[in-house]
Amino acid sequence: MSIDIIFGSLFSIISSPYLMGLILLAIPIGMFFGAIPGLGGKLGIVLMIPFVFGMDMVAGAVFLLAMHSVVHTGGSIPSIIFGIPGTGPDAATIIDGYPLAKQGKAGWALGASLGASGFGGVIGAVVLALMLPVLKPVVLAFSPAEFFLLAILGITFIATLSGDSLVKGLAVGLFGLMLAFVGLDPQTGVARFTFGQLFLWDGIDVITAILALFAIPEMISLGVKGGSISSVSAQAARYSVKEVLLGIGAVWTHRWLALRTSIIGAVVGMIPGLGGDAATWICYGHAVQSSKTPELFGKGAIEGVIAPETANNSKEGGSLLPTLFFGVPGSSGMAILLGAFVMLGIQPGPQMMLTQLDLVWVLIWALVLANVISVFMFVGVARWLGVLSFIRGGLLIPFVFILGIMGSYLSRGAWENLLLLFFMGILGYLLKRFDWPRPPFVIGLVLGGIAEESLHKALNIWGPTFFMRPMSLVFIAIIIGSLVLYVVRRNKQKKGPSGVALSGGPKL
Amino acid sequence: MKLLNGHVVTAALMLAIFASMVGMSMQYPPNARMVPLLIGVPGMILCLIQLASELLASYRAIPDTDQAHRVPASELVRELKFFLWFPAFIASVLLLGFTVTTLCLVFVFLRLDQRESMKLSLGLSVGGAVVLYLVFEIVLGLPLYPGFLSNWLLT
Repeated sequence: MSIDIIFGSLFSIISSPYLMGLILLAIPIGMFFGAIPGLGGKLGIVLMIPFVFGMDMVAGAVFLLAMHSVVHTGGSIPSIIFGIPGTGPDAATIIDGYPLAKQGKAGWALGASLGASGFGGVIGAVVLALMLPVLKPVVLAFSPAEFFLLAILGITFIATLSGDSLVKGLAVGLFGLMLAFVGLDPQTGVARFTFGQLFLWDGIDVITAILALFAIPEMISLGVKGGSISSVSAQAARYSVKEVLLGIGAVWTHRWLALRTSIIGAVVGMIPGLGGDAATWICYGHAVQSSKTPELFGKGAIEGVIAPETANNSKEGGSLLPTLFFGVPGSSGMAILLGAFVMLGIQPGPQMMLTQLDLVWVLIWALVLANVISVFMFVGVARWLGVLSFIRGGLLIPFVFILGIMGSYLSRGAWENLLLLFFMGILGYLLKRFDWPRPPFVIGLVLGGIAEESLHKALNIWGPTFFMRPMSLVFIAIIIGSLVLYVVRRNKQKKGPSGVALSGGPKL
Repeated sequence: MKLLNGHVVTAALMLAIFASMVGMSMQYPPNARMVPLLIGVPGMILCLIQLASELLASYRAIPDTDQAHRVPASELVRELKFFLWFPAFIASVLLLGFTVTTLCLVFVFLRLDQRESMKLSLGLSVGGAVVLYLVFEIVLGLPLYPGFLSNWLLT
């Protein structure tokens, strides 16, 4: 791998005031979405999509990735100060972060969380970078048959891990695939599922579909249930910068734990669909097991803040790996980021290894820079960050509606997209309301075109026996294995309580 | 009706979508319909299984539990209200464009639905409209959609 590409990519970012400005802008935005309970990184990406329409591919991707990579840094703020997780994976931070805040050590806990997040984010990017040379021959060995099976594998993984019902998850994933077939068939030129509408000839707009299934249902849900935490005393949000700095120092004190949990987080992130909840809880469990004073956990142990926070940010680096090189998102947030990348003109897949390696390195460096800069930025505004958590969700609803509608309109410049947004938004709300997981839909929609093309190619090359190829058989075995594992796990859960649910997490 | 609840309706809706897409696929040439059928038929079967499971769960539900899980009327009203606000925003954007919608409908929403003060509602709606205009029209150079009605009035 050329040193020119590696460090040239870093130089191209730091020498560009435009890209550096975008990273600096993305960090507070990411923290904002993380710090307000009910918003989160997925909604953040979706709502920032309108703002990247005018940008080129690299700038848009750097902005969105930088924003997404620091969401959990912001998410630790309400977890520690109020005991309310900003996003699902931040829940593990509450166990020790909130007791520390109640003991008057909120600044110390926040500093530790910040230092751990920054450290974890950097290690996650390093793990991703170290994997590149190993991964190249694997990715290049894939044929169309494997890419078709990979799409099915991605949907299966996400379906088994993002909800309570496998049937619902698979059905939603297949629904996403079906919608990917809307438009002119590339094989025959036949208009499929277009109802005679010209605007559907190019297919269902991915951005409109993502906005409809994620942003709109979240806002309707927030409006219906209400989302204010303003009843919590503002006293809890008061702390000094010195306390925050001491907290950052605590990460150095527990540096080996931070390193181990960062690596665990990055590796967990590489497994498609496993998501942040699993990474944080596994790392929290590791911190308890490896501690000399496990009895302090749950009462305000700083290691209980450091371990999940390192994992939270390091998993983003890990999950970029399947997202970029296989087109299979590592997490639900990455599924939406994948959709945004496609919109920007980036086509994830093995060709990234051959033709867009410089872009991959730009993204890796953006991840590193965003995590490092966020530490300094946070220290600078530490005293006011707690205030973010007091913003009432109700005030944001109309703006989310406007930005959602704007994103949908701008993506194709067609007003008909707004009708699609309406109908799919209603469907999205029903799916959310009645516990149908939505991430498999995004994967199906994004991968549908590639899956169909790959299947046709595989059939043309090998005929119907394409799935008898050795690597295809491995994929089929993994798909069947993950389904069997799901059934076994469900049966175990039904038989009795089994400790901490690693993959439960919030319903998406 | 005891058997009819949101879970059943959603499963039935998903089944109907799959069934209609599979039905439409049958009219396409063999090469164009192969993959949609390969995906659509299993999707239909999964939705059928889910629908049967939801119907069975509804049928078996103990009346007391059923009562306990019933959605409060106030929540239903809130849901209905939001199902009206959402298309209202879309209709307003289509007719009046983004800037006017941000200026007017955000204000109306904050005042009527969220019961915010006049000062805050006005500040947020005007501020929001100004920020949108500055960011999209000036900084990003993306012209905001003016709306059918605004277009008609201006021409």
